[in-house]
Amino acid sequence: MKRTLLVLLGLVMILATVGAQGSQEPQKSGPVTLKYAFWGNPDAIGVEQDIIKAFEEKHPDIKIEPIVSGYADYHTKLMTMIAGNMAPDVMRIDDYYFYDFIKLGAVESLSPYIQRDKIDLNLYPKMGIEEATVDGQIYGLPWGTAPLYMLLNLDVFEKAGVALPSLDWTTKDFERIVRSFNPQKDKVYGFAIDTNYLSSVLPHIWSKGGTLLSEDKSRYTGDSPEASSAIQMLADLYKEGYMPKDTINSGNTEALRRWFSNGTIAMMSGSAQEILAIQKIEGIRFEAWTMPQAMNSKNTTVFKSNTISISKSSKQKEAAWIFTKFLRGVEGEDLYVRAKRFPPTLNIAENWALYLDPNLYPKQIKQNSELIAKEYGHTLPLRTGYAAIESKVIPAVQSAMLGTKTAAQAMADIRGDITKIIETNSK
Amino acid sequence: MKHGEGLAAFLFLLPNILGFLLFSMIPTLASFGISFLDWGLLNSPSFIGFANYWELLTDDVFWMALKNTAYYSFIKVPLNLLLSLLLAILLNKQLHGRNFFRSVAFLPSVCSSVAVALIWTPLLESSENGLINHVLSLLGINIIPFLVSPVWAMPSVILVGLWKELGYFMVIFLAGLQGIPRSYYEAASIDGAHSMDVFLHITIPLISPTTFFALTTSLIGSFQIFDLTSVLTKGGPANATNTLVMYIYQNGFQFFRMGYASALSLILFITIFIITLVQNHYSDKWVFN
Repeated sequence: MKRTLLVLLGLVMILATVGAQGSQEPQKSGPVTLKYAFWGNPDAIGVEQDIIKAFEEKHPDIKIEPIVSGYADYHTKLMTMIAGNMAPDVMRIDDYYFYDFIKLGAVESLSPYIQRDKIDLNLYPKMGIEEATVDGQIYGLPWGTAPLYMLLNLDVFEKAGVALPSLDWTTKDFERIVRSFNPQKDKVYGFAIDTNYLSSVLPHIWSKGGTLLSEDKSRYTGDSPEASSAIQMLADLYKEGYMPKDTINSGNTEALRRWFSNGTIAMMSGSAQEILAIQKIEGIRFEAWTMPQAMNSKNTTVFKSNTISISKSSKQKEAAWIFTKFLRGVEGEDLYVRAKRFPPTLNIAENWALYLDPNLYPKQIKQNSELIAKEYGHTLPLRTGYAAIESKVIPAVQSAMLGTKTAAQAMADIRGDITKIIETNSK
Repeated sequence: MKHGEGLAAFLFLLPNILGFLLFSMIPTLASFGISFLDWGLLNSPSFIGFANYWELLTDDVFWMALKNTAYYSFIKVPLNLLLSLLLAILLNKQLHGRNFFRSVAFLPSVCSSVAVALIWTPLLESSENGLINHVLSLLGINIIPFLVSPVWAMPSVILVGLWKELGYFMVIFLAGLQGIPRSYYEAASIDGAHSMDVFLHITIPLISPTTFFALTTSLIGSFQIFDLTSVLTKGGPANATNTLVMYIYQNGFQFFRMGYASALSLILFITIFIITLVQNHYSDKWVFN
């Protein structure tokens, strides 16, 4: 019996070994297969599949194997795949992490391809190309470049009898409008902020004339009187009850959209994705606006991009470039915009007609987006270690809002940590 | 052992041994080695000696995460054991609908932590929109800033953790309670023992092996708390619920500092190891054999 068991076990192991060897057969010749990594929810995945289908019809010799993940784990998975020599050929990278990927040598420069194929860079948003450029080399083509708008709930404004701000509103106007609402009486708040992201806080710092990092991003400047006063303004509004208490809960980001949709808050910052989600709520009337501005500068609305890049380790770079060009060229853009994945990002005015639905708000999104791109936009101070810097600033902002420290103290206390992060990541 | 039995046993154990070596032992040893490196996953690692460990000593967030993890564990675990034991005793009695209540109590433990956290987030909102605060306000109690105050945030996470885990440990205690021979209770009854004496001198000692198991596994699990805080509070506000595993995750997979994350992991491993050793050492004094 035992002998039989041993023989059986041995057989199983031999079969397993043979099976494993069988799966390592050499790659067949035929169409090139590219791995394309991106994040997205089920709707977004559908859009990507349509684009992949359109590409494969046009290029039957190139097959695309999608590698998809939810956003939360996407960059971790991407990094692990690259480290494990399983890098996708083409990948989408959020610009929050873009510089880390560049520093680690994971991304191929596209400059030679762009020059060779005479790609017209004027087609792309200027700020998107700026974010994709490191040391004069362009490492990706912009994807989903769009502002982080201030979203205004028109019904809430009307009901409270508060006039909408102008597009040139200042931080003083912002504070006045937030204080025009009476949460104690009406249970309606003027504003709520997503304290998860620096991109929600930075416009307020800029609107007071401050910055988080110096222009060359090599020094911390978030403890300047201007930057501190912006954080103090947010803290005062919070402590005085003009923002919902839960606005400080980083785990409650979904709540912002809920509050905005059910009329609990009048204003929140929101991306193009946020707009798509809010549009699904029947009857909601809202607008996408500029962020409040400083007296001496209009550039306070975050203009945020992502990039489509090619892996340095890709063995099929030429095919990967053909796919990247399609994805971020006129044809890819057309499909993205028709599917309303994001507002038009290429400088093709006619594309707005594909995106806009005259029955849906925000009705001024075209004019305001173009204005933001032209006059009001500001790129994030992205650099290597941005996520680590963010992890220091957010708790500091929360401390100020909780009143455990003044904004000046809180922002000064993280100077050492941020300086160290900058030094470590500048090596 | 007969000739060949040892080899057969080894071959049968081999898949498990291989799994343990590949996915636990070797990564643990590798992590120890990586903790002496400056390594961003894709760049060439460089040896930096004990620099990561020195950095830990002056890292305020590390100390805060360690304190938060200990706070969560040392408050939640005793409460968890006490409440799940009480629940088990209650549901061990002959009650109408006992099986239904047992199932209801066990249900949260089969839900994923992420789902549990998503359910509790709106319940714990710090306004009348939050169900719990709404009920409290009807009773004339002031709004409690559950997840937005550094004082209340961790107790709120503990509350959710308890809700999720009570059912699981209730089942463990139920098994322990049902393993006690009825003859002990009958003898105590004949001798006229008071019910509290029966509980203290028969039930508690005889379920002590179960309690020891529950204490050890619960404490180890609690020191690894990540998913609940990650969804409920993301470690906030102002790092008030940031825990060791969350800080390891942030350093490893958000800041790409594998060396530092490995050093943190080793500290967590040593902490859990010491606590488990202490538990084992003192188990002779209170665990009935």
